[in-house]
Amino acid sequence: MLELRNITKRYDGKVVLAGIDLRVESGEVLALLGPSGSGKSTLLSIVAGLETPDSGQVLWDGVDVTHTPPHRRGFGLMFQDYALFPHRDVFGNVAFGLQMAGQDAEQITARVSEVLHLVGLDGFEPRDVTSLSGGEQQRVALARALAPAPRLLMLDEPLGSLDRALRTRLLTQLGEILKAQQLTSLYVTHDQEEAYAIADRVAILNAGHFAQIGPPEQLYRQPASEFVARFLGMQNLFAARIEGEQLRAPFGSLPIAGQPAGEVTVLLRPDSLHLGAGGQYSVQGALQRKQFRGSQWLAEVAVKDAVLALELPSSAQLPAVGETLELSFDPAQALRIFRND
Amino acid sequence: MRRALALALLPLLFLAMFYFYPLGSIFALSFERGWQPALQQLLTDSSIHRVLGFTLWQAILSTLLTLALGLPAAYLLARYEFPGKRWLRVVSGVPFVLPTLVVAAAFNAVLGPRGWFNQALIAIGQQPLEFINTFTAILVAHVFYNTTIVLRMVGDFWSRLSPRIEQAASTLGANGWRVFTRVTLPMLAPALAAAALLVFIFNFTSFGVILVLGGPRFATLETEIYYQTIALFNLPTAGLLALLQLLCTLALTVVYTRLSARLSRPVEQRAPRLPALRTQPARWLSALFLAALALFFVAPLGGLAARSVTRLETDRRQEAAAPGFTLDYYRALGEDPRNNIFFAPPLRAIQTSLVYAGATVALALLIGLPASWLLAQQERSRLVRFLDPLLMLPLGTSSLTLGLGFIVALNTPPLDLRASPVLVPLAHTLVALPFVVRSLVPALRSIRPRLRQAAAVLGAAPAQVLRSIDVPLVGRALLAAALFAFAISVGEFGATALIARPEYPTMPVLIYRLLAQPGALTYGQAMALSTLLMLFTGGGMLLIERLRIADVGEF
Repeated sequence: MLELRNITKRYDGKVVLAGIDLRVESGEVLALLGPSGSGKSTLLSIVAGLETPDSGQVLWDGVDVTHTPPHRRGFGLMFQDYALFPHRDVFGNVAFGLQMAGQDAEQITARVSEVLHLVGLDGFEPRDVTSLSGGEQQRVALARALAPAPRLLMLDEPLGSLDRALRTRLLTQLGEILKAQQLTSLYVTHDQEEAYAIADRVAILNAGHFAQIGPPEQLYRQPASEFVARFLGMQNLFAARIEGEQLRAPFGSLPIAGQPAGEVTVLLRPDSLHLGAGGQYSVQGALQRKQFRGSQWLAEVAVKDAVLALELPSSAQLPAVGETLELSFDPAQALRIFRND
Repeated sequence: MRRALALALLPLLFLAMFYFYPLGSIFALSFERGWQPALQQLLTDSSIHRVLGFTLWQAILSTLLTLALGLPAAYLLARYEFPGKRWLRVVSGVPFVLPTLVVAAAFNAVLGPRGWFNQALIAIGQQPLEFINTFTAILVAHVFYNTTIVLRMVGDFWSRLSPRIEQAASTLGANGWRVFTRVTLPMLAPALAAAALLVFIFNFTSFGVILVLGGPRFATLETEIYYQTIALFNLPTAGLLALLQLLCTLALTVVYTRLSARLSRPVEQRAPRLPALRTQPARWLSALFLAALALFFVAPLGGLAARSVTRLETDRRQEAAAPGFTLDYYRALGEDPRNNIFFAPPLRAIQTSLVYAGATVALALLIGLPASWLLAQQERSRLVRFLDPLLMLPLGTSSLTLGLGFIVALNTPPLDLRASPVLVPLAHTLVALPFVVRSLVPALRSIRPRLRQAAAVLGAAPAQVLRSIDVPLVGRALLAAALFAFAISVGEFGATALIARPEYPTMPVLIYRLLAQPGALTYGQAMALSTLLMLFTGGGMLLIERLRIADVGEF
């Protein structure tokens, strides 16, 4: 189990990590998600031991490893640019960690072919790493990190430089490998779909601290802040105000209980809006745009001072653009309110 | 900063003493009698004009011929798949790395009076063909040398241009000719211009080929500097010519650097799958053309090696010996053919060359390593940015000019190195330095901190990181740089011809002298010595090619 306690790090006076606390359970895959410059890679370097935090502790199973040099940590790191050794062939790269551990040649050969099989590169041992394609290099880098059976595997944007189709395929394989090996893993990415697909829990890092940590569906259903909602690409975020028992939003006013007065940001989930007057609260507006997307319709409806984005099942019967339609929602499910302070 | 200064000190000092000081001395010598007489001589001396005119004329003609042969081949290489393609690329590059004296000897072995072709003509009672000491010989040798530049620069650029652009033009109604002139040619223009200019520069500064294959009838700036220095000892005129040469090459180099900077990566980088030629006649025609081209590259070198172990005529001294296979020429390498001060047994020339090459390797690494280390740093101070172009300057200076500079400057105090055995390695180091630096810098850069981190994370202790990452990577680069210095040193002819001590000729210098002598045995010795030199340099370059490691992860 990995535990980080109050990790801080600054570069040239600029705070990169501001008091990070984190626990990663044994066998858990945790994705570190955040915009570039949020401190993800720095955090990874600190866990790997390539950098020292200004303060705070890194613990493994309760043992403080903050000042243990990287080669004694037994952690694996797959670099963003792979950092394959250009002077060694595929075998030489994958065997490196095993050789450092002083294993005998027979064991090494067996283990190398085992992990190469795992990543689908059977028989690639004598190949020159510089002659491999991007996807193949990625898998060699993964095999190299996996070979010494690290206690913790860290992956720094492992699919970053690959094209879309290859990413999707490798992502599935990677997820299967991590789960099959029951590896405790830290997976750094800036792509939320990648994080959702691979992680048990996702930690969103923003400007040096965690904005939210939780399972993917929780992040999606209950974003903890406006930043999280925006970062996850959610639509229908509006500036609003609470006065007494009323929420005054650009799309209308509705009763709300137990919220102190003040300026807020309100999120109206695009997939919680229904066609017709069935829900607890309903609004009317003109259909401005509709797009058929196979499994669903994407639509925009002008309601009072706001344009609401909608995601409707493709079975929904939408009127022609320009006509008025009625929408209803259940405020308890559809709304999330973030305080602006 | 202080450490950078300390490291830069040796390279800067070296350049100051052995590049700028000699060039400055040439300057001073040419203007010894004042500016006006020198300028007047430049403007009125018709022999200088003739020399400059011929230098330009042969360079232009050689360049045009090189393009004429290289462009169709570049097109075929870039656009079609055919058997033996890789092989053709490799073969075309071989002449480029060989010393001029080897190339001169190779053409002599095939088309010279004692060469294969003329011996065959004589055998069937025909008049021998006159090739050596003709203008044709100069042109053919230049084309032989430089075609690979066109193949590589234009061919590679061409192959990265998407054929879809041309297809788009033809769907818009352009016929084949218009596609070529309106679309392909304009896109190729920067590569074409850069390749042509580079070929021109090489032809303009060519020395060995003109001297040995052209003979005394043809004078370019380079050979004239040589004659004025060696035969007439007219140093002021030699200096003036060297100055003219320096101005021309520097101007050409500047234009070339500008042009090649414009060779940015073209649109498409992924090579599309290439088709085979479509029609049967086209296939036959290209096969014939490419086979002839391959033969053109291979025949002289093969002819040289074969001639060095074949007796074609009986020697006056060895009348009993019958034509056929022989190792006599190699056995005779220990013999002094003329036994006077201007000759030495070839074996001694080999020794001399190897000793000089060893010294050059040591010197070039001693000076090149700190300079390369500085240039490889991520953050480069103003000092380092200043050092970079400085180190490349010897590349744009003809070796004859460098040699003349040594003669003029290092003969008198404060630096009196006259007849000192270090003179030749110093000159060779100057010539080799740009190559050493250019091969070390990328290797030193390729050891990104990432690789050390990756090794550490995989459990390598600091000492193991040094042993398993730094040493193998730098080691290979050092070896490659050393081989470069070695190959350049054993093959260097221009500067060496001026400054080598007569009783200690290097291999190229002795080959030159042997080729100028009559007699079947001296000719055989020249063949054997040239073959050995070809093996030394060719072997060195082959090893460098094998040592080269591409970097991964830097896209």
